[in-house]
Amino acid sequence: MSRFSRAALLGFVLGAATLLMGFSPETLKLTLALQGTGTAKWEIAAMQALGLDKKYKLELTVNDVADSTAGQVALQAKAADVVLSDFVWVNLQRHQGNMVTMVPHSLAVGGLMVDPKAGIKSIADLKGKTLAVSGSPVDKSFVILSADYKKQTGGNLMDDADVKFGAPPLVNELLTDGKAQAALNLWNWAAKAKVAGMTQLSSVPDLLKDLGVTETPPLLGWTFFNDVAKTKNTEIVAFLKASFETKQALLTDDSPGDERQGRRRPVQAAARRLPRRHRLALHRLWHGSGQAGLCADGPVRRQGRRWRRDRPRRRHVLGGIPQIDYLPGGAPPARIKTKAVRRTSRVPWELVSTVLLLVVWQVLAMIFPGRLFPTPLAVASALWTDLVDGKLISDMAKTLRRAAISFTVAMAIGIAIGILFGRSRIVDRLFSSWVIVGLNLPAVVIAIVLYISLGLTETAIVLAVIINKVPLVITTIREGVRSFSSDYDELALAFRMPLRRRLRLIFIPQLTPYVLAAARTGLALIWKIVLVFEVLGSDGGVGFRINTMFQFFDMTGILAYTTAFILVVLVFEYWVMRPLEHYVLRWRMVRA
Amino acid sequence: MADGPRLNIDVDEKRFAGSAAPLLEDFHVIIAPAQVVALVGPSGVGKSSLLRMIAGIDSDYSGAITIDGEAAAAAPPAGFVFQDSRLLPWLSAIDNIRAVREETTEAQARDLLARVGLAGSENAYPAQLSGGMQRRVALARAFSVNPRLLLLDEPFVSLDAHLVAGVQRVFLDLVRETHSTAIVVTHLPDDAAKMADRAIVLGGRPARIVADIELTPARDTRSDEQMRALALALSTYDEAPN
Repeated sequence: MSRFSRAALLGFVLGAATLLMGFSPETLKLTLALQGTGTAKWEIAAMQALGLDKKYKLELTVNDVADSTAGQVALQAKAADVVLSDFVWVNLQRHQGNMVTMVPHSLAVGGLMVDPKAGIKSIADLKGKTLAVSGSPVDKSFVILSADYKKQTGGNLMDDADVKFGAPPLVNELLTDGKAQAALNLWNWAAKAKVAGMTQLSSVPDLLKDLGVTETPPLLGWTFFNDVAKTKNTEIVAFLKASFETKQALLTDDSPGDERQGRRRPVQAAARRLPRRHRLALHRLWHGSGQAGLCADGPVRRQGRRWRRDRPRRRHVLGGIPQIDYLPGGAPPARIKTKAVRRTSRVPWELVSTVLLLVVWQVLAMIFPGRLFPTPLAVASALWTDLVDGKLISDMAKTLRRAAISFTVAMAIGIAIGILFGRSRIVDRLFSSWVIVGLNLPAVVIAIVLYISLGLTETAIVLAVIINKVPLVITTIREGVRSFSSDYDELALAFRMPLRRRLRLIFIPQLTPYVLAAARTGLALIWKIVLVFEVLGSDGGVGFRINTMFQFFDMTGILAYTTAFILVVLVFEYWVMRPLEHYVLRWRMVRA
Repeated sequence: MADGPRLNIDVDEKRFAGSAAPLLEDFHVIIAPAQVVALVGPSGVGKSSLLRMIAGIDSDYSGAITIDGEAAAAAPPAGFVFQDSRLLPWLSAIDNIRAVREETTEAQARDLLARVGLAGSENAYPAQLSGGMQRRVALARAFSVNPRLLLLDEPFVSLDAHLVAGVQRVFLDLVRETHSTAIVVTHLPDDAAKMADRAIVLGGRPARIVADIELTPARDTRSDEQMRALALALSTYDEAPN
């Protein structure tokens, strides 16, 4: 073989190897965030059992999340490529200009379960009743139920009924314990309620039919951002093929997921009932357009990419139906008017600091404009809108009432027990370990235990805050009592001061600084805990509203509510706590 | 004004828990009405403890202490001045005086403060007063409670010499006016020589009376030289081995 021929052969071999390597089958990596107990996880399990993931060269990373909301957050945070979401959330995202796409997954949804003894014969009978709802006010089922209620009665379900939002198990607890007369829950929990003697008044598809939607829309779907659909088109198409092939297998083959027998029916039913036009949408996606969303149709107008982002104003997606109040993310205004601050010795530096912070914030928001970094002006605008048109005042009132009750009761109990601990060594030694446990018990554990025990009631949330707060008060007061000067006791003994006088003039003044310290730290704690517990489950309040906004990454709304809350806390600090402290401890502030 | 009460001190035994030797044993003293007695002795001998027993603060002893024939704990409280001023820092000067005795009117409290030279400082908090002023408020407080019987426990410690002289002068003026019976605990013979009619020097464990001396001439007529001589005489007892 000539030198040329050998070189040509070598070049051919190397070229072929390179080409082969270039076209070699690579795994298609995709990250999913799915509810650990959801049906989507079962489908993925079935897919893997059938080997369909391998068939499509998929390497799926499935991250467990607590609920669908967490999945939505993961998607927005780009921590997941695909999640399972409902169409309402997808619609609202698109309405806000966040182009997400949903591909049908399941028609399996829950229903409205009622206590047969409650006498609820129709949706209209929900008026005046306690309705437990899984999820939040923007969950699809509740939105649909609210719409149907409005159609039937002309009223607002949120106003007419005592609506409690919480996790599915808690919702079932409320219903089966008689603390709620009706419950809107996921299908599997609704089935459990049925076993417990509850009856289904209506399913979500029935509600939709009542609303005039003849064709059942896909309520749940694989959801992803359009830009991800472009960059990971091959991966997503492969995943969706595997998903639908799994559904088909589940419809025809009983072998996969036998151990999950009884749980796959909703998936089977979902696959069987997928409307044709949604399959067409999927088809378009498979062919690479990346634009084949099906979520913008239906009752919500499609805005496309020509979304007007520079006019922050309230937009209701579904008129009259309780839903998240949000402001579209807005581009920062062109100019910011700020007043120059004169540097004089009489300048209130705290105020200057605040203005400076706002200016820095505004400038940064202008440099890095984006939906997740709103300007202070946009936040102020949202705050004003929430104040005038929204639920800010009622939410704030709810939160403050909870905080006030919790604070008063916790302080009273904590002071009494703290004094006992400080005065009696035996009591202290006997029960101080309880206090340590109380101090270190995670707040969320207390909240969950109480929610399970008492349901999503006002008592549960207030009690949870009290239990969290009391150990801190006990500790502070106990240390205060321990530090009491025995010299003053001797003084009282020497002058034979009566008990009441001794309490008023010696005991209470010594205790007061510690009570104030406990109050101050306690308030700081209670503000936060109340909000966290409202996030976990409640029927209103600042935390509840922030949680609702959180689901939409509505940063402007969150910051508006946070600002309002901080303003209230500051007003309380400067108008109540500081004057009180100044008056009570005025003797400390004087110097010779 | 009537003279101060007569005190009869009969302590069979006073012992602190865990202590090998009693603090006081077979301790007997009679204090005449309107007499100013200085209890002199080294630290830890039991002077302050004895004062607390007389004040009724400490009743854990065997024996009897009577004030005009009445048990100390049941008798009207004495006007007590502690080593520190022990004013309640959250109360003004006038309120400190009124705090310990409900019946004291504002006018009476103002008058007492004026008598100790603190007119105009009625509304000042203790933190706004100097150490000497605080002691004078404490003295006024003691007089407001019971001007007939005063018990002073090292009232001049940690005060500058010129402040001590001022407070002593105020004390002697008030005692002269009210004919008080007073017991002044001090470890300084100089204080005893200046203020007391009688000095009881304590020593040893259990405490015993090392010397019981009538200080003559009368305190109001003593010259500085006579005071120095009395102090010197007392110091010899005080320093003598017990």
